[in-house]
Amino acid sequence: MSRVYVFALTSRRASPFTVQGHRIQFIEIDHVFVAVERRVTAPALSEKELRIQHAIVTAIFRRVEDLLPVRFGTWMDRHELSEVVVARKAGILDALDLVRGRVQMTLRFSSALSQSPEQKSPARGSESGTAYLEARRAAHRDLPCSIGEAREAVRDLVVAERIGRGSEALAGAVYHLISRVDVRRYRAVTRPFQSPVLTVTGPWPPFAFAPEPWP
Amino acid sequence: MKRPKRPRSTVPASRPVSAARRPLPPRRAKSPGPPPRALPPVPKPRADTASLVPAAHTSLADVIDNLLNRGVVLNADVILALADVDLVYLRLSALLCAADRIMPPRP
Repeated sequence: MSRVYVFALTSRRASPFTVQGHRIQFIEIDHVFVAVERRVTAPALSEKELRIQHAIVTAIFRRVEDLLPVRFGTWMDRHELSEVVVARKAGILDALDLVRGRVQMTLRFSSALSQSPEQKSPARGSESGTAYLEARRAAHRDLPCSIGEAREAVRDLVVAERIGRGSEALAGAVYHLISRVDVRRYRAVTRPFQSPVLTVTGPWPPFAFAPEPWP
Repeated sequence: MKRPKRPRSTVPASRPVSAARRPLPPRRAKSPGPPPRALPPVPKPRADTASLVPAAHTSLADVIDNLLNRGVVLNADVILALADVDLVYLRLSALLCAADRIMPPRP
């Protein structure tokens, strides 16, 4: 049984290459190309492995015009991979059409720092559990003001948007899909909004805009 | 005795007239079926594409955000044995990710 570790999907084949000792090849399955590495085990979840995978996906992204990154830990046999790609080909091709020639920019914000006092969660013990959870949900429903202004400023550049809610401990983020040629303009437009609360990173492969081929 | 060298031409020789006029064999009819979805022409990656994505000095926050945002697939092999006899083999593949990545948000 031949098992491969899957990094990403693309519509064009690139030449095999090696990144940090990992040999990346492209398998064609029904007109979709899958960037894989032949491995006998899946990588363990660690910072080192996450960094390696990020570097590999980024390296693939430099070689192709469209890329759909796949979840960390997707290690499967060739037959199973073929079945999944064939079954979900239409959705994959639609997603490739969306991301072709585009990159992801990320507006990351810290919810705890940016919320107004009334948005902050109530003190524990002061209300019932239901009220506490309702207050948390309400607080996370409304994005910080600076995010709203930044989103408005880049509206003309954005092809697609996805919002990841943060929490008191974790930063939230707004993910924008923009054309590769608009990266400098996007950075320039968002520069005035950058602060300890709001940071702009990218360009990245479109991690947040890949469909879920493996539900 | 040395043979005189023939001058080599870099221009490929043309086909003989008889071959040029020979009719091509009939093409085999393609099997009927849905035509493959045509992909739009894709330009080659431009030179500045490489400089767009920062390769080094990627922060851990970005790595985690980009990779774990989509969840993690956990694989495991479990063998249940009794008295050194393997009885049951389980191959587990679990997906660990935020609920809103799988289920649509509630109104």
